Amino acid sequence: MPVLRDARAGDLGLRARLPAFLLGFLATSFQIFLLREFAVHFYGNEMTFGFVLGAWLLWGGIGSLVGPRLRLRPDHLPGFYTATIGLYFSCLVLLRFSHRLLGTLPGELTGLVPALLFSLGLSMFVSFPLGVAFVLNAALLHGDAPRVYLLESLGAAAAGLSVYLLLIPHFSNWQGAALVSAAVGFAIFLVLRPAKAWLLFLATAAAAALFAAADFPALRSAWKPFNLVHAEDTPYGKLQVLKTGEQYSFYSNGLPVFSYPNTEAAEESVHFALLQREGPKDILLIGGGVSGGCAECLKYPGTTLEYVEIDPAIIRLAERYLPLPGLAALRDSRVRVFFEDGRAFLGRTSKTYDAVILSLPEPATAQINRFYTREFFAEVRRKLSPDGVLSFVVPSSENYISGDLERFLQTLETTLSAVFPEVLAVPGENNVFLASASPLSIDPGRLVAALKRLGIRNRFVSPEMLPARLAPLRVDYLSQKIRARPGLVNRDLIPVSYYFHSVLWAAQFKGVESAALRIFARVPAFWLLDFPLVLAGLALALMA
Amino acid sequence: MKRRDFFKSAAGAGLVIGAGLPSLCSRLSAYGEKGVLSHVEARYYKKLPDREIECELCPRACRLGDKERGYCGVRENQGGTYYTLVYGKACSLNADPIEKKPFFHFLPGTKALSLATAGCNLNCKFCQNWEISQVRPEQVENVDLPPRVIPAQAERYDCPSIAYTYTEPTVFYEYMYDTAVEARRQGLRSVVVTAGHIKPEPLKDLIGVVDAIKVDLKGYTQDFYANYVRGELKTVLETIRTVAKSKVWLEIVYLVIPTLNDSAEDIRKMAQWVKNEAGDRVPLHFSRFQPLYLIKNLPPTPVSTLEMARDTALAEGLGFVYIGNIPGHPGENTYCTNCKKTVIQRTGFMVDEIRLKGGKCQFCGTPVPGIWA
Repeated sequence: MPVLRDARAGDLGLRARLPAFLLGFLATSFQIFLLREFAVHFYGNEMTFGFVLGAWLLWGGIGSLVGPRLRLRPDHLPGFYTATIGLYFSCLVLLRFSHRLLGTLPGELTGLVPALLFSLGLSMFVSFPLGVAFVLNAALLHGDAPRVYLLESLGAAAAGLSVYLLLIPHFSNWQGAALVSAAVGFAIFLVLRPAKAWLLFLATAAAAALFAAADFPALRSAWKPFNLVHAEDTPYGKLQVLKTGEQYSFYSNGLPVFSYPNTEAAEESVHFALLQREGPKDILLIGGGVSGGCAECLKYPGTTLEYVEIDPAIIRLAERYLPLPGLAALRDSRVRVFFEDGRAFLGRTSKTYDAVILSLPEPATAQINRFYTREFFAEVRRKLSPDGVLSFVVPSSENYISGDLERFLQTLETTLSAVFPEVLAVPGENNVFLASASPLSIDPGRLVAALKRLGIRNRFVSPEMLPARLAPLRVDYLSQKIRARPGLVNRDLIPVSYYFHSVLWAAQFKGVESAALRIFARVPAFWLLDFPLVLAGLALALMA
Repeated sequence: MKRRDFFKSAAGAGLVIGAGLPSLCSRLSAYGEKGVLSHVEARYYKKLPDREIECELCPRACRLGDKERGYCGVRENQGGTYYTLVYGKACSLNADPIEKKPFFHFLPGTKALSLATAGCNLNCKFCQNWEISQVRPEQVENVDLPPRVIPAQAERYDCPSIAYTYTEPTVFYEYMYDTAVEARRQGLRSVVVTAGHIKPEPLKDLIGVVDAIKVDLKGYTQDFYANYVRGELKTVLETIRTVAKSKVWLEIVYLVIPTLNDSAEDIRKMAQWVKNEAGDRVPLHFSRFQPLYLIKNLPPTPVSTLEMARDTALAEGLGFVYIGNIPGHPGENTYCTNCKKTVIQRTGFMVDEIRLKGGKCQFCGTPVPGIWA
């Protein structure tokens, strides 16, 4: 060990201990940035997080198994880390242009199989060498594996704190990864002093600088032929703004949040709820305000509106990009804006509302599913006036409700019905769910009369469009479908709506995804959750 | 701690955690409906040696061995005889405004009984009805609705026409054809909403029994058709040409998808082609794309792009060019080509006012092409 020969002499053992610390630091920070980037390219769904984490552990394990068989020495560690940094940058570039490799458009859905393959492929290039590095660190510390674990864990903890507290709030994922890499390169140079130290450090620093600078240009290029005008990583995900003609489309973690102007979405999220009552005064709007929700609510005279948006950056970017008419409602004195998680806000507010309007994505992730559970609906009911109305919109199908869609919609209907005596659903390409303790109606004549009485002029929720949308055949068909059999109640800890949405989503691909998810639903929990662990335990015991 | 001890501890901890995890899966149940399929011999195929067949309905010309199905998934070779599996097996039935198809020059202000079966011979990445078009018929719920009972359903819902729509009606050709014959016998009209991916012979036969055809021209380059539709542009153009020459009423829809098929140059060339091959009196609709199916993460079409497309087509000399899916837009109205006055005023699917007398502009008497009664 010529380079690290003085590992325990004169440096308080820093040279021996630092590599293990750096291993944990690199692994955790790289994993965080990889997960955040993965979410952007593969829909932000927790299932894909599972793939990445699983693949990461798998390759790390394989690396530590194979490591002893490779003729590497601990003094290779500095070069090894530097090479891993280079590989990591390459992986992030590959991930960013993954749709090109898959032959799809940016933003086009690709299914779980590509997500699985990419997680396996990309993790291999980073986690495998880090697994090998674990073995080298153990050799450096004379086989003291617990100490390696301890130091690695300390590095991981330091990475978690610094990435979440220092890097993510201020830098993009690529910039954060570049800074971490530069810091690691500097630490190697300063403490380990390997052969050709300057060269290694300069190479790392140059690669990191180039990588950080290439972030936005690479993103713009990846979005071609669409016109990306802004990208920003916030603690809540990657925000991106596309410009198409006069229209701006906001994306969070690769999923569309809203397009402006998009009158149809704004109108349908608001008016079916507010037309239920004579004069809704106090309205709570969770999400969707900046895309037209606030303006639609303010069409009702005497209304005051509380609008909750979790990510302040959405409003900031809206103020930067959207035209003045879109922002006027936000600046209206009747509107109060809160930057907070909608569920947390509802939990702490002491107000009661005449309408609570959720303008959020469908429960496609466990995080969003929290807004569609019995617990959340019960909280909403506590904060509603006696004839108050809850409403939300989920994507559906106008002409045919498939079995998968039916089961998903049934969970929503059943969950709402567990809390509210009155539940109705509006048919269409999107279904608007309404719930209340008092009677509801989607009779087009009644809604049209209310629109005329209030003098509200709409384009889509309008006298001209409502009769076709609420045609008896369509209303009856949807109603019969969502009540065909008792659905399951969606709960915080039993997120069935999330599961059935995942099945529905997977059905879009003519691959194995949908079948696999259905099989999982039929397999008893023991075989899915416990048996693999038993197997793993046996394997470990045999290896030991 | 030794390596062996660590592994043992890790295995034990894993078991404990696993046993304690909440069981989502055990609470989920899976269901499955199986549709009952029809067994009616298909038309337009030829028998080949060794119990093979070749389908002659659409340009895919699927050559199939025994027990194999065509690309559409709804026609099957059983022992050398080709069968349609969806004859009389409707999976969607609605009474829609005819403007929703859209037909703007065909019985405006009326409803069309709209029906579909499963299956499609294309694979558009932006399909609005992928749940029924991209599946096999046994994967959907079907209702037995033979051709003879459909006219009664149309009358029940006050529909003077029957629309074959939602999925691609070419794949349920026999069902559509027989229903159209039955409908005509009972004084009802038939309208076809198609992507036009059909061979000339079945198309010509179909023209003999239906009253109107709306062709979805999904783009104007073969690249677009290859990448996003999985079909052939030239076949669709040939279909338009054939229908235009017939007595059947023709309308064309062009779904404008931002950056994929919205170049002014393509639209100009398409409009020129329509004028030259189908005539300047054929209504052309530019519809707004709403993100769906596999490209649901793309932005919708800006209104200005639709307006550009309409202006381009008008400038090329087409007389009746519309903007779709933007209720209240002036591009929804029909204007007299002579006096430029509004002869049909629409808002969304609602016809507000018709100012035609005997198919002519009530202001200047210029004929407005269409089927008005």
